Amino acid sequence: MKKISSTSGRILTAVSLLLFIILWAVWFFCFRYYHIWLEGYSLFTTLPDFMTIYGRIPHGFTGYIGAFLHQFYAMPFFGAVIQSALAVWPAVCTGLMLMRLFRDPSGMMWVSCLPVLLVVFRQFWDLLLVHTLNICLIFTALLIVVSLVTIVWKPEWKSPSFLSFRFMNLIMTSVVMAFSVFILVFMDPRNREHEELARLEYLGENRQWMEILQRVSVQDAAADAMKRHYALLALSETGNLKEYAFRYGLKGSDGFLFYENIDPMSLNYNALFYQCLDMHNAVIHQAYQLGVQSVPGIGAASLRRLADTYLELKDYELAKKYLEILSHTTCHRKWVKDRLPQLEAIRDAVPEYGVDEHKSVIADFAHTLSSMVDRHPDNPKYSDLLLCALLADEEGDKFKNIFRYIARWQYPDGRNIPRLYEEALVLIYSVDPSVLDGITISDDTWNDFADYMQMMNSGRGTQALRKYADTYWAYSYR
Amino acid sequence: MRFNLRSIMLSGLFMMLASCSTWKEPASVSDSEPDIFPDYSGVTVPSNIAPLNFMVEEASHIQASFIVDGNAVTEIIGKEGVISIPEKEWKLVLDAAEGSSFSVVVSVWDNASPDGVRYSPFQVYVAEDEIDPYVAYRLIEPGYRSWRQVGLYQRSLSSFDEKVIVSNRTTNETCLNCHHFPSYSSESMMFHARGENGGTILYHNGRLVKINFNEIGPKKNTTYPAWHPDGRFIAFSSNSTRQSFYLHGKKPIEVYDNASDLILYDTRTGEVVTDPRFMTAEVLESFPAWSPDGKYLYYVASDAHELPDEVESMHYHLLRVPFDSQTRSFGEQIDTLYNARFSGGSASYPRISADGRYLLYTWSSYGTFPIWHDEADLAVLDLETGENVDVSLWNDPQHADSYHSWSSNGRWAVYGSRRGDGRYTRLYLAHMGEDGVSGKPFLLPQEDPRHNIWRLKSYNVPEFIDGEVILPDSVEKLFEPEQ
Repeated sequence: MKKISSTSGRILTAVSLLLFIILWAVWFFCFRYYHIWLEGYSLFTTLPDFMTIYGRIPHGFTGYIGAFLHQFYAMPFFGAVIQSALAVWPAVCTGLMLMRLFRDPSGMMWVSCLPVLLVVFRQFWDLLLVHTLNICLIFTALLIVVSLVTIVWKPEWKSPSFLSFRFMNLIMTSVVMAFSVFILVFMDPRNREHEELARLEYLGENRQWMEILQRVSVQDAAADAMKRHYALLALSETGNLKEYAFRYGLKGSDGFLFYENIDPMSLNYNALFYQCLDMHNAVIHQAYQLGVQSVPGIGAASLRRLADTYLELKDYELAKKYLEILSHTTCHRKWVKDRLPQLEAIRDAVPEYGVDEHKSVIADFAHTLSSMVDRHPDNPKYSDLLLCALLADEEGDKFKNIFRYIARWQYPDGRNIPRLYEEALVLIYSVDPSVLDGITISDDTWNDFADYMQMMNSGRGTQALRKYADTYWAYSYR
Repeated sequence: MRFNLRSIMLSGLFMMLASCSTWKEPASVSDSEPDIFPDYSGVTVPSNIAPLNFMVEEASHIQASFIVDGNAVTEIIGKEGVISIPEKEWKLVLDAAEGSSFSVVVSVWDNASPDGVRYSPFQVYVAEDEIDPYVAYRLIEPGYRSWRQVGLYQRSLSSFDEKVIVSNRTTNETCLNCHHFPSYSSESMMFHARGENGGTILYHNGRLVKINFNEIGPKKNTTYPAWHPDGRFIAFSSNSTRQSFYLHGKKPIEVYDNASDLILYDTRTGEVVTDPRFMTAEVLESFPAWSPDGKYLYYVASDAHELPDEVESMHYHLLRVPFDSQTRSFGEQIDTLYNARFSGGSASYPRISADGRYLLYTWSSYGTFPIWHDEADLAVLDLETGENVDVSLWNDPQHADSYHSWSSNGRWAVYGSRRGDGRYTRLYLAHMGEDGVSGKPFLLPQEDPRHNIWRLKSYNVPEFIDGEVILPDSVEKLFEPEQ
């Protein structure tokens, strides 16, 4: 009897371990950044208000446990461990129940694999872990009931012969493994897309702009708005926007930010974009908006950004508030500790929000960036974004005026003008020759323009557009 | 050996407990007051308020004596730097000090004073005037365009109990705002629910109804309400509210109305009554409030300007117009109580005390949504003399002090202030004596004072009520999708 049980136990251990390892590998190697993203979207603290919120929402208890587990997803290794363990747990419960109920279930241990699919099927988009944890809790409850009942009443049923095939253990485990991998990786293409976007978000947060540009192809940028946005931000941060904005599919001044989307990824992108531009008020606004999308009304990513922004602004009270809240989470102690000297240093500082006599508001992109250029005409990041936005909107006159304004700071000798601007100026020159007063266009651009025009005028327009696809000429012709 | 180990463990435990809870004698005395949070030094409190728990940051040990007429009524040893006063002991202190004051002697052990320091006592004045048992408010994240959890809550003022009146979990995720009660009654209330299947919810005479004002009368939306004291009418301003987000500067948001009018809803007939004087595009009226006898409607009004560019030109006057409830009509004469053109600034949220004597409003340099204006302060006008009453004690010059309500006996005001951290509105309670002398306000007490820091919601629209509001369960049905 003992031998039989230990055989079943060994089979169950082997099946569970095998499933766990395969699932862990899938979660870790295929969805590494998904875990990091999930951690930022969630928040677990023991503060009373948060517990009340989880007490109120449906499935509050499991949601709260889910938020607790999500903290560890900041380390994808552990995130993958948790995801896999949660998927395998119903299998373990089922196997143990079979062992309690049947005399020799070793031939039917394959049945225990099946509940794994119940979890895996919805696991990727179970962003609060509510569905996953509910299944785990149900199976745990069943196991407890079966265990208690079988303490008193030991059925020791004989395994049904139609289910008892030892070879099925291996076959069904393999099938479930394969099917799980298929469900997670291949069945829903959104999963891999989401992982890719989460990776871009991670790279953006860590300022790995060249890596973003390597990952986002021109075709990707054309097909996916989020990828395009990250590519454009990476171009801006690396100083290449003025060369390649149109290559990466910029189509209008509203192409740099998400205006209507309120999903966490879009809002986080917006916050990151403004952070790169040191536009603190806009960062704070977007971070709050992002926080609102999280179940507790604020997520870890949002809180971290707020704490860092208020530290930068030297707003002691608010920085302290957010750091204190983060210190009530399990995994932010070190993060907070690292910032305490910075907090201490601003204890008596006057917050540096700056003053704006013009009361510039965050409006449409060109309007907002105009305000920034007005304040910082020597900052190429602001001016490049504005000039490219104006070119994308084909606002030639505005481009001309703004370019003249910033040229005084950035191109005082009228030379070495970035390629896109030269192309635009050459095009405007045909209707307004004064645009080139004091400006020297490179020979390469003149030659390319002559070549482009010659091709266009000789009926080789398609060839010209292909040859000069990245140019403003091609963009304005479309 | 086992016996010894157990003894050691028990002794250790005993010593640990003893060290946690022993009244100590501090090594030094300071002639300054302790730096406590919240600042309860010199405040005036009602005789039925919840315990004023307070804390000293980074204190490893803290203890406090509560002294009335030279006698220590109770002595409390704190934990984690927090003095939590048991309700029974607190009641003894309040009863003994009612009509006079008690002093608190705080001793603190921390890094700066590892051997302890006894601070100079601070005073707390206990007014004989009671405060209403509950305050209702909305909890919401400050200043966003979107929302996820919004709720209307009620807090017992003599304890720390906070209960939800209605949350957007019940109302199908709508945004909830502008809750209001007629004459402090917890038996009736109204609020707006914005969003899918939203409307204005009216709970009155035991009936719960949802009204869609966009479908009746002049088809105007309704915003700020004022329920007439006789319960029949509700005056509303109908505002087209917008917000602008600033790129720079400490003030991140400006909220303004592109248009606003006044309308009157008759709960008996279900009609909306309008007066053409309050329906013009040239003048923006807002924030209606009734006099306690219901004979006057107070409101604010400004000339229209091009917005948002000319928002700083928006200066709201404080006005009142007589009202005849028999004829449902407003009188001819409109009195100007505060002339913004003459005096400068802008008035918001007029509220008249229960005795009809004092008009409490928010003053800001311009505009109509002062909670985002650091310069916003409360102001009180004596309606008998027309003079301003000094309530400078209630205000923090550095931060916004805004939305307010009078208690039913007119001796207390509750209002929102951002003096804590500049972003999250917290509630303050302030006393005004019969002689018009104001007392120092105090932060709404919390069981753990740090709750004021940890809470990531702003308190919004505090209103005193005479008891606990219990809305019928059927409120949920009002938001079910229409078949």
